[in-house]
Amino acid sequence: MNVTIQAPQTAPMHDKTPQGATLRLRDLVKRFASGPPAVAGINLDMAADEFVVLVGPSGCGKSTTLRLIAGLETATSGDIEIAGKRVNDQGAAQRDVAMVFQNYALYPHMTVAQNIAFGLRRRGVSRAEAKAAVAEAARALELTDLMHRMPGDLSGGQKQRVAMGRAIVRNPRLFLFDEPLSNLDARLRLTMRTEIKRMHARVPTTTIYVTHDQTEAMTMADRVVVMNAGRIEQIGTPMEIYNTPVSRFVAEFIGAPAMTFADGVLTDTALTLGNGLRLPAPATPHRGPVTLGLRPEALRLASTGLPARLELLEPLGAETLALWQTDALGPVWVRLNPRPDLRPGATGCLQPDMTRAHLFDPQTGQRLT
Amino acid sequence: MTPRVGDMLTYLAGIVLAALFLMPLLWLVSLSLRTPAEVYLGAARFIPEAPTLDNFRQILTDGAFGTYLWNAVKLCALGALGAVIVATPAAYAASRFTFRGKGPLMVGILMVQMISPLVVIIPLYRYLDRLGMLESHLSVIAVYMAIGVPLSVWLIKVGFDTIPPALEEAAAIDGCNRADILMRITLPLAAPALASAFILNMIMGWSQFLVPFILLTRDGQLPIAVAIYNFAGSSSASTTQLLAAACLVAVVPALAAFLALQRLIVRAIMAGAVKG
Ligand SMILES: Nc1ncnc2c1ncn2[C@@H]1O[C@H](COP(=O)(O)OP(=O)(O)O)[C@@H](O)[C@H]1O
Ligand SMILES: [Mg+2]
Repeated sequence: MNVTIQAPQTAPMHDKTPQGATLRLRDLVKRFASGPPAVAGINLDMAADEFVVLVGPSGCGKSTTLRLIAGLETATSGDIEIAGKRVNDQGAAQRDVAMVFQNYALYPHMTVAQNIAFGLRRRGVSRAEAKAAVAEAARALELTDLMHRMPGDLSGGQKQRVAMGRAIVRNPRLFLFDEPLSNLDARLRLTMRTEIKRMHARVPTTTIYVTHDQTEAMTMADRVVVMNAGRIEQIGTPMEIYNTPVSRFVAEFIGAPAMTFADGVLTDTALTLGNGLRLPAPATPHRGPVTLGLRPEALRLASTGLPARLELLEPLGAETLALWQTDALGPVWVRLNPRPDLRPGATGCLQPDMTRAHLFDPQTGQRLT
Repeated sequence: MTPRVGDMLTYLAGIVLAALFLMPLLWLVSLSLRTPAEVYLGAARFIPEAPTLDNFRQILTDGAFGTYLWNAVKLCALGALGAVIVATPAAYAASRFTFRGKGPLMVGILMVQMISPLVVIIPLYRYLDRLGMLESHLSVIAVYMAIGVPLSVWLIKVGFDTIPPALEEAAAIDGCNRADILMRITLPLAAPALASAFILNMIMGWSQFLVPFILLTRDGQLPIAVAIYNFAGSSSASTTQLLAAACLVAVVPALAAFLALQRLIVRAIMAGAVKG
């Protein structure tokens, strides 16, 4: 009979606690046989025990970057330094990193216990020591009752926990996640998201977490790295990325519902949109053609402003999202209080808060200040 | 046509096929249980009046017979093992690496399979003669290996294809070098494919007649199939019942082993298929 004993929240996983390593990427490039480079010159400095999320659309080079760091791909050029030492020429086995794969990649012919112990045993940890470490990891991840099951008999969430157990038990210098939650249902994804963050708080390790989900990026990261077509668009804290996106790409990708964009011309006195609508000029020295970006919270219902017709409501409980159709901006999302006294088809006016407006160069997409 | 009629036709075809293969076998059983006198009654006495196990006793107590059986097992098993050992690295490369000309190479390997040993047996004989390898089990085993390799490469490659590369990558990150990965992850997971290839080669070798018949002549080296043939050719019809018993003893263990192992293989492959 197994009795699950919850480890105290503050207990360290191991007695010996080598902290996570620093990571430095210098002009990292990866070119495959065909097509444009998958990774086209990336620079990144990570502090020890930092939690960084790589986010971007599918195919932008996130997985390739992670696999380069893990040693599963060889870099075309550039340097990868772990704990200040160049590791380009080391194989995956020597880099002492751990990775959680999208499909978990559990060894199907081994029990849960053997799966978790495998890496320890290969690194020469004695059987007894490995057993103790595995038991501890199992307790932390509530896997104790599953230790003798085969991976084929586990649910998606349980496999996910085993994959994490296999990674944390080794106390690696770097912890790599490649879209670990994308195969789970929405509820489980939320639970595991919290779990991963709690694990990181309890056992701090330098962590790179790859996702295409901007919500995961915003909620989990110490710092977010937004990638686009093999390059880094922006690095910053979630709030920096949200509040001052450096490009239209970042502004579009981060934040849900998405930012609304409209082209216009900025003069000393006003910002004139394409259809002739004049808005107060935001405080900027810039003049000429601009792209205006407004987040849902930069617009509110008012007695004057852009005429709009309510298309649909999305009640979320704590707030309600409203999609308005406007002549000036097209469809725009606006955040409303939870129980607005409105029905689809209603008309009203939307007042933009120009102090919260974002301006981008229409040609380059770069932020204008 | 309703599914039910389709089912019935399938069963009918199955029964006809089974009868086709079972009749000679039953005929053998019938002959092997007869006394020498009854053998002359032919088909009229399908169920012998005085069934006897005497023929089997006589065969099984004959020391030479045991030697022939052992020779057959040895040649088949070592030939099959050799083929699997040679085919495995080739299959791994075919499954995991991309290189120029891989498609044509794989088709070429399969085409070797289509060459009957009959076609090459004369040059093969002269070739082995030059090497001084006639009259040796090693030469027969080598030929069995060569015959078994092409199909084995394909079978094992397909087995490797079903193993996600991510498992090997996970093992690399867990600290394994290439050899470790192969021994601890890839080969264990390919076990069903390796076993299938081995058993298929065993069966091919067991039904092999021409190669040992040509390459071996010394009596003590002959496998059972060739020994029975020689026996039949050299003795009078009064030994028909002994011949039948010998054939059964040679065939039935192979059949039984095949049926037992086939179930095992199917189960292993199914386990692999649902592990998802
Ligand atoms: N092994 C490979 N061979 C060739 N091209 C590849 C390979 N792996 C990835 N790519 C290409 O590199 C680009 C980036 O892929 P990836 O890093 O997987 O993107 P992401 O993880 O952000 O979705 C894609 O265009 C993909 O097609
Ligand atoms: Mg990816």
